[in-house]
Formats: sequence, C-alpha cells, structure tokens
Amino acid sequence: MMKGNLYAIAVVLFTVLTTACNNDDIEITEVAASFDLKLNVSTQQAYSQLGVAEDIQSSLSPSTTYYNCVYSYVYDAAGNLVANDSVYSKTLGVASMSYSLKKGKYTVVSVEMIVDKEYDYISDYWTIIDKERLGTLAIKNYLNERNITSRGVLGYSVRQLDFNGSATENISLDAIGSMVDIEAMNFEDSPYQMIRLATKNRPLARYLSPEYKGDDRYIYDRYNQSNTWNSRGYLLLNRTGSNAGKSMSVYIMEEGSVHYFIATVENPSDVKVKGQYPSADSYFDSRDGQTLYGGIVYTGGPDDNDCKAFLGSLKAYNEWKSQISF
Amino acid sequence: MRRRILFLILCMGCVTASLAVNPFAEELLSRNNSLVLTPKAGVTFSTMSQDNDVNLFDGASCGFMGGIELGVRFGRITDESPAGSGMFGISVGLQYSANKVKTLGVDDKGAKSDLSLSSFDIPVSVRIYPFAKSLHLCNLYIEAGASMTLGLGCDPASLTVKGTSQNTESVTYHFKGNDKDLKANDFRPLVGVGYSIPGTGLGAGFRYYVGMSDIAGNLPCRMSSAEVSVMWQFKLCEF
Repeated sequence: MMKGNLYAIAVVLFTVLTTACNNDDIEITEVAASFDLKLNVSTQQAYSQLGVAEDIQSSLSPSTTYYNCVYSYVYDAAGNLVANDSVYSKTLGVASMSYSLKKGKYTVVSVEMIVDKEYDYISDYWTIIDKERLGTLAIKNYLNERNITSRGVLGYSVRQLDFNGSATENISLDAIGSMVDIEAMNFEDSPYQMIRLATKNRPLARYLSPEYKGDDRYIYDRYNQSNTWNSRGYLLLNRTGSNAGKSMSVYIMEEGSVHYFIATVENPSDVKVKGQYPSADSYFDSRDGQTLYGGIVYTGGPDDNDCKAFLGSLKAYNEWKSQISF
Repeated sequence: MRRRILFLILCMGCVTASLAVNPFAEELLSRNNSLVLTPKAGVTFSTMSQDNDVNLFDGASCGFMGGIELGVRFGRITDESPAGSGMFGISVGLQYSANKVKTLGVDDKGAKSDLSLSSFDIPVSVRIYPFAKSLHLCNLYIEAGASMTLGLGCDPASLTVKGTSQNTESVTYHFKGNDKDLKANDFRPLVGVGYSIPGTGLGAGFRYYVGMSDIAGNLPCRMSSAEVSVMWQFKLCEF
C-alpha cells in the first residue's frame, strides 16, 4: 500500500516536472536578409543595332531637352514587381542602378527610350504600362503616333536571375523592332507629292514578359480579320528642290511577317492613295535589331502602275537597285 | 493572475501574523523541531543563456519577488537549546517572481525593450546550519534544492531582433497574442544562503536559480536568476 502511494506520487511528480521542463513552441517569423544587386546597363548597343546611335547622340546634345532614359523593373518568381528605378542621361554609355533584394529568382526587365525633359521626362511616343505584374508589363504607343522616327527606337533586355547574394549584372540592351529605310527616286517629273509606307496591322503595344512569344507579344490597333491599312511613315517629295529623291526612315516595333505596301499620293492633304507597290499583297520579314532597305522609283508608266518598289535586306535592295533603269 | 497571487501572499502573511502570538508556547518546549513561516520580498537579477542561433539577450536586469516559505528546522543543537536549533532544516515556498533581462530586441512599437517573465514559483530546499552552536551565527544557513517555476505571462507581446545569419535580416518572437503564448515553465535547481538575527526573526537571504528549460520549445533560451530578499520569520509551532 505504502509502495503504491509512493509510486503514484513519483508518477505525479515526474509528470509535473516533465510538463514544466518542456515548453510549447511560440510563433517566430523571420525576415530574410537583403543584398545589393547592381545593374550596369549598356545603352549604346540597341541604337547601334539599328544604325541610329549617331542620330540619338545628336538628339541628346546639351542644346536639346531630350534624355536617354533607362527603366529597370525587378520581378520576383511570382511575377510581382519588387523594385524599379530609372536613370536619365545625356550620353550613351552605362547606366548604373542598385537594388536591395532578398535571395531568390528574379526577372529583370530593362527598357530604354528617349524622353523629353520639357514634358516631364516622357517619350514622344512611348509609355510603359501595367508595371505591377511581369505578365502585364508592356510598352505602349500612348499617343497613337503613326509615324515614328529614329527618336522612337526602343531598347530592352529581359534577364532572369538566380540571386544568391550581392552581385553585379552587366546588361546590354537589344533593339526592339526594325528600322525601315526607303529611298524615293526619280520623282522630279512625277505627279506625286508624297510616298507613304502602310502596313495591314499596327501594334499599339508590346508585352515584355518572356512568357509571350511571336505575335502574342503585341496588342494591335483595331485588330480584326479585315483590318484597315495603317500609315507607318511618309515622305514629302520636293519635286523641284534640292531634296528631290530623299529618303525616309521609319521605326516599327513588330517582328515577323509584315503585310505592307509603299503608296504614292498626289495630294498630301488627301489620304487617297494612287498606287500600291510592290503590290497590295507584299510582305517583308521584320526582326528585332534589323534594318530593312527599300526604294520606290517613278518609271513614268501607266496610271496606278507608274512606279516600282522593293523592300528587303541591304544586299537584296542593292541588287534590285542595280537592275532598275529610269 | 498577478493580483490574485499577491492577494494570496497577503492573506498568508496575515495568518502568519496571527499565529505569531501562540498561547500554547509552553507546551512546545518539550518538542525538538520547529515549524517556521517566513514572508519574504526582494529583488531578482536575471540573466539568460541562449544558443548561437539566437540573438536576444543583452544583459542582466532587475525584477522583484515576494512570497512566503514554510520551514522546518530539526532538532536541538544542545539539550539546553530551544527546539528547532539543529543543523538541518527544510523549506517549501510559494512566491511570485517577475524576472527581467535586457534584450537586443525592439517591441512592436519599435522601442528597445526588456523581456520580463512573471512566474509562480514553488521552491523546495534543504538547509544546513553550519554554525548552529554559535551565539550570533546560529541562524546562518546554506541551502540547496529546486524550484518549480510556472510561467504566468511575459512582456512585451513580441520582440524583433537582428538575424544571426547573413540570410536573415530580422527575427520576431511572438510571445503572446496568438494561440502559442509563451509559457516559460521551468524546473530550476537552486542554491542559497540566508541569515536571520537571533531573537528577532528578521533576516535576509540570497538564492541563485539555475534555468534548465528553454523558455519555449523553439526558443533555446534559459533564464537564471539571483534573488536577494528580506524576510521575517515566525515560529508557528514546535513538534
């Protein structure tokens, strides 16, 4: 009996002491440490790819209000914006930015464009929209500008990082879209005062997320199966002046097979097109960072067929040009 | 909870005072042992040990304690000595402690904050009176034992400290405000020394409690305390 009582007391004591010695967990939350990510963004390459670096540098001269602006957006693995910054510069070179980030996988999207200080550092053509999510980030032609010059050229880079601590990333931006150079020849005695480049579709915006491929990257203007033609650039012909036969440079942001024609126009105040060259069913292949070369020559033939035109690579254009006579 | 314990201690003090006037004192002269009740109050100085992956403790800080003890001193050191003047004794106490340490953390308002753990303690000790034959040092004792510490609460509700690894910027310990409140129960060995002035019952004591248990299962910190107290001993009876 006595032994039983002692045993019971010992069990109770053991239980009490064990309870006393083992405390429950509490809630503990940890905040991961942050590390420096430095981006050195080279701004020259994109403009050089399209052959407009000199034009751009001229635009950035101290006498103008234009600046080259590099925007960088950092997205986490879930595609949420975690950091962003921008650098304005009067010269092309390297734009540096620093971020404080936790370890993890990130996507860094960098974009450059020429902006105007006079208009609150906004581009004449482009704005970056829906930045909060990588999947919605896009560059948009916010003024619906149809005739975009070399000052509208865009550069960009998408870099996916496995960030494991302080690091420096050197990024060279690549050009978005193509330059289309078109030469007008022998129009001194033509009835035309303007030539115009028109495409069937015209993208208003381009997504920058790598999840979009091909044509899915673009948001088109009034897109439908029978879309109307869109002017992409024009050249006013000075038939009697010293500028006769001058050329035009047009920037287009899309990649892929582009349905186009080069039109002749008699009256610039009238949108009516006289002829469509090489035909109304012509295509050229556009690639990012590529310059396309073309020409239209007045041959004095019958109405609606009094010109010849070509658009393609530099080599093909030179071959075509060497074969035409006027 | 803290108010209830203080009220309990106050009530026990009143009982002690009423028992101090014992009408049957002469009958007790034939007994060898004495039963003593001792109200006590004092201050605590606490430190906290922690594992390398915790960066919480900054320094010792001062708290307070109060309670009562029931003690038995066995035997007479000589035939002429009064009951309860022998070399050995035991003691059981009930006390409230608020132990505090300085921390490296900030509370939820961003202010640097101490960590205060309040507890209800049940110390049990064995006492030795090495100078029991001495006229003046007969009530000097050294003691050893253990204390059951039952956590009552803590302040502040949370503490945020810098992380200990390069991958962690900060760590926040949520002590209360959710269903995982900090308990901080412990079973702490103790050693101490005490002295009461012969014939007065007034005395002072020092104890050191060694923290043995992590204050939470996932927070490997153990709080140890030094306690300095004043006490007033009342002999309840002899037996």
